[in-house]
Amino acid sequence: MADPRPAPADGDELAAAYAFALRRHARAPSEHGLQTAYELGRTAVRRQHSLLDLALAHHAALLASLRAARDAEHVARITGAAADFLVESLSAFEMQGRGFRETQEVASTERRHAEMIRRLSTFLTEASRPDGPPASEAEILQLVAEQARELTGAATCVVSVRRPRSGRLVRACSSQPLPAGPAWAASDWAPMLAALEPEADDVDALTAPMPAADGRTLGELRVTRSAEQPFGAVDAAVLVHLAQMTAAALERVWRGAPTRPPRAPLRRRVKRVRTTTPR
Amino acid sequence: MAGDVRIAIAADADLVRARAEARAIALGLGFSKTDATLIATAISEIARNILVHAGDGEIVLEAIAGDERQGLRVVARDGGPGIRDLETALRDGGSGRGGLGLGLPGARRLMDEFDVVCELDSGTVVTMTKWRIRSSLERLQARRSRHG
Repeated sequence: MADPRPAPADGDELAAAYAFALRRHARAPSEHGLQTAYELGRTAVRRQHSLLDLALAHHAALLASLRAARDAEHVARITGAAADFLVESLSAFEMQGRGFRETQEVASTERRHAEMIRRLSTFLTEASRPDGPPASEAEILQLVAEQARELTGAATCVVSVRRPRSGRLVRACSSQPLPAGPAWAASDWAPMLAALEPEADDVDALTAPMPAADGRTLGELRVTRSAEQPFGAVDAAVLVHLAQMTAAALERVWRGAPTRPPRAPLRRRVKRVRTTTPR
Repeated sequence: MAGDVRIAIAADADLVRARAEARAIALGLGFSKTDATLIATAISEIARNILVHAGDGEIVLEAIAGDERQGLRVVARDGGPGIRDLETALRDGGSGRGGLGLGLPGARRLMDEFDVVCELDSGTVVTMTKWRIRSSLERLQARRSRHG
């Protein structure tokens, strides 16, 4: 088992350096002293010291500095300078903590995305099985529009497909709820309108074509949101993945649609075969 | 702008001066001591990058006064080799130092706005801003002082 304790020499080294620098800063507070405190904290982070090491070092150093105090006023000056010194030495830990929280948020979002894509994939597979419970093309498109909007954080998603035989255009749309209030601003409508209008200045749009197995394009997924929060590479990758999954599911549905039998078709056919087969 | 403070960065002592000037401006604008410390820390990280990667450069501090909010903008400029892979450099561990959340990504997280523009072999410009929302009383006082 790995020893979780920091090497004693390292801890002592930090405590000694901290005590020396704090004593100097307490005698004559300056930006140089605060910069030294920041460098000590940064070094502690780089050497993977615990925050507790720094707390102990600070306590010991403050105690040592206070022994030299002449009167109450001097004590107040030393503790004031020491507080500034401590905050500065902790700033590197603050920076690291923010990074850790950001990493956790990203990981949590990615886990949520993976789960949503897995569920959508299961649904699309189930919905397009010829022997499964029937799901309409409209249901599939609507669900994909909602999931694509949620996964990419878009204001609006429009899914458009052209049916292969009739050539008829079918669309499903999902929009985030409009803000509550007495009146909606024109900008509230902009992402929705832009989802249908290819060119708009104040919105950012991402479009992913739906590729058929034979290379044709069946339609597209288009998401939009305010240009102030443009989509990123991850959003584009998610949208392409959804477009491919949707295209595959629609092809299965369309292939199965004209001959889709009612429930339990296999059993009935087997029975008929049995009765007509000569012995 | 006339109110800008410009500090040449060529040695560790310049870094201390940039921090001191930024802290003074931030406290003057009404930022808390904690926020002033975060600004000073971000400046240390960016100035360290200038010293390590470019050798020298400059930091410009600009106080931004608005009705609703006040800010301190820090522009760090150098004429160094630039950043070859900006996306990686802004990620933790992009500098190859183990992803401890320091350096450019660390500075980015301490400020409210953070932009990097770099051109290979021509240099890098980092612009970062910290904002403070003014209270309604402050806004009222500012309006009254403007109108005499």
